[in-house]
Amino acid sequence: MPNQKTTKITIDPVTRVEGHGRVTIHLDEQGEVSEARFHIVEFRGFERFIQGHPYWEVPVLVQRLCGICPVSHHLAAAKAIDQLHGLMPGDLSPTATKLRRLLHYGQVFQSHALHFFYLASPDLLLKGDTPAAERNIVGVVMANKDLAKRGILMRKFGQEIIKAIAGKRIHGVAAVPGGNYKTFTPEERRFFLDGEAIPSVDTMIEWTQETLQMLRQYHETNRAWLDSFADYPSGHLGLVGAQGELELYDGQLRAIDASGQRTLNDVPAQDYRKYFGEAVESWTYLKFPYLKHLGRADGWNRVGPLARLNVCSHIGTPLAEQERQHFFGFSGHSPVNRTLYYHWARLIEMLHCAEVARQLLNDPEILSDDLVREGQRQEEGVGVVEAPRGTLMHHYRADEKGQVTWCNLIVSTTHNNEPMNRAVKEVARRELSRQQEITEPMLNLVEIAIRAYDPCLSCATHAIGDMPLRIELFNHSGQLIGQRTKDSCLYNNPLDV
Amino acid sequence: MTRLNPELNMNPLESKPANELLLIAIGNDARQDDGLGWAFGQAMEASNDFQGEVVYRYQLQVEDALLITGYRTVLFVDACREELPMGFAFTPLQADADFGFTTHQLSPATVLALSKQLYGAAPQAFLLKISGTAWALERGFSKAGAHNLASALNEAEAFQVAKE
Repeated sequence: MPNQKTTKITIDPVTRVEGHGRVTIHLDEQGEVSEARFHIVEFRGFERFIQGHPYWEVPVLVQRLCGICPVSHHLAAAKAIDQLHGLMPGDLSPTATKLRRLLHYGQVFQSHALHFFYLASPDLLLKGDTPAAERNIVGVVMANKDLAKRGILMRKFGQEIIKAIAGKRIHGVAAVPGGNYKTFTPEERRFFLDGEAIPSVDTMIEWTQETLQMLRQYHETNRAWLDSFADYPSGHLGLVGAQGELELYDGQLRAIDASGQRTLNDVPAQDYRKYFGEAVESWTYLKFPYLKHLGRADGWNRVGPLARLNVCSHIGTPLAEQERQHFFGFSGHSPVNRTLYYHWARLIEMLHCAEVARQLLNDPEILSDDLVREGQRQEEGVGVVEAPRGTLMHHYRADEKGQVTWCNLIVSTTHNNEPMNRAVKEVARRELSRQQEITEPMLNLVEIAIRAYDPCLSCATHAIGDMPLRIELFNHSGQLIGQRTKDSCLYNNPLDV
Repeated sequence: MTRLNPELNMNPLESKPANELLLIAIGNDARQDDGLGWAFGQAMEASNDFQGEVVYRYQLQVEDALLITGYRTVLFVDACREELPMGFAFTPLQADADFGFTTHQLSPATVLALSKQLYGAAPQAFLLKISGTAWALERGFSKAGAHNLASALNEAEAFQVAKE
């Protein structure tokens, strides 16, 4: 029963994240938010049921963790399996490495396009009083048709790169132990360069620049909100290249604290277990990774586009580097701890991805048939990539028969578990405390904070079946006084990720 | 004539040249009856009578609004949990900008509405729902699901025969 004395609850559907989660908000007797948590309530079984499979099957199997970023899982696993096969990343042929890079950058480009145009743009483009039922991509289409059309073609471009290299847009096969499965043909390359069948890679760069321009203008007129919303100190983690540059496919691990001091100084990604611990809590299936030497309380980090921009020294492509400098110039300091700046960072990464794709597409070496190398079997392999949502770690051991005996996965959304909880708490306290009426737009602000991280809860837990997201509000005596949920199923169909 | 739904007197396979038909099969064959839509698509592709194109989707996305603009007729096929009297239901689909839980997946009606909004044209569209009962992470259909799939295919095949 609702608490009649204190609060009237109006909560509407919670939307636009991938997966199954729940937010609980507890109010004390004065109506202050005393606790707010983001729970992941599905169980992940992947680390167990991968055991016993031949190691060469792993890059294909683990793609089923996710329908949004299967390429990231495929490549993280492939890098680990290369090591079981006796090959470090530098041992692969230049062609295999470049094709994997092109695949990965195409994947990040399409995933970021999906998030920005389909999921996040309603938060930015539609006014706060827009009805919940219209606060979605359909609403964006109504408000800005050209932007929506462009978003579709930009995502399509990334997906076509995946299809050309892996055979399918989702759950294709590109990497094999020690290299890549198929060559890239001149016709496939032309498809992305000439602009006839689809807009060219040059157009992708141009459109991303224009979208960034639009976002900069948006920041100028909405600065107060963007700068203060869910702004809280945190560590940041990501891969960097040999010169400290932004790196998404292969590099060293770097972390900084909220003031920018290094807390992890460019260590080999293969050594991650020396540095990372994983804590558990009784109220969620999602673990809490942290840097061991800083402890559970202080060692957590944000990951993803904002974190990557914070940890890198520069970006290795000129247009994105220019945008990075604008970004830090606008924010006034580094690192940036403002949650909504994730969207801006995401667009800068899109520009970088398009620039890298253009370089690779014009590189004659990607057409070579030198695809696979052989090595000496090893017992253990670690693969780390920067997935669209952040640092993704795959770790496997295999026996002498080649069967996987042990597996550990730390996915991007797991790293962002503590940061998302902090964001939820921050926004709930600021927006919901002592309110006479808690309305849907207020609760939507909680969702906006979660959405900025682009969480993939299916990845983090491998949820099976329906994936509703629910917000629950409790009064001081623990009574549930309001909840809102929305079933994910269409036509009662348990759709997949 | 329509065998799939006698009350509607319309059928995408009848009204348009076959090469103007797109069948979008939705589902996941690793989850038992969630693969019914895909199985229907595969059976149609294997049929000599079917001359449309088939694409397979885990879930519908915004870009499918662009895809369907290239066809006069689109048939969405998906498994469902509803218990349907015939084991399946075939209905015309109206554009409707309804909104589900997440834009990681859209309904067929929303895809149709987006196509209309963005590109000014929405093809004639139909939805075929096939009832399922089991959704575990396994291959193979439940007895009821397999029966319902066969019923839907019988109707489709019967129609193909009738057309000749």
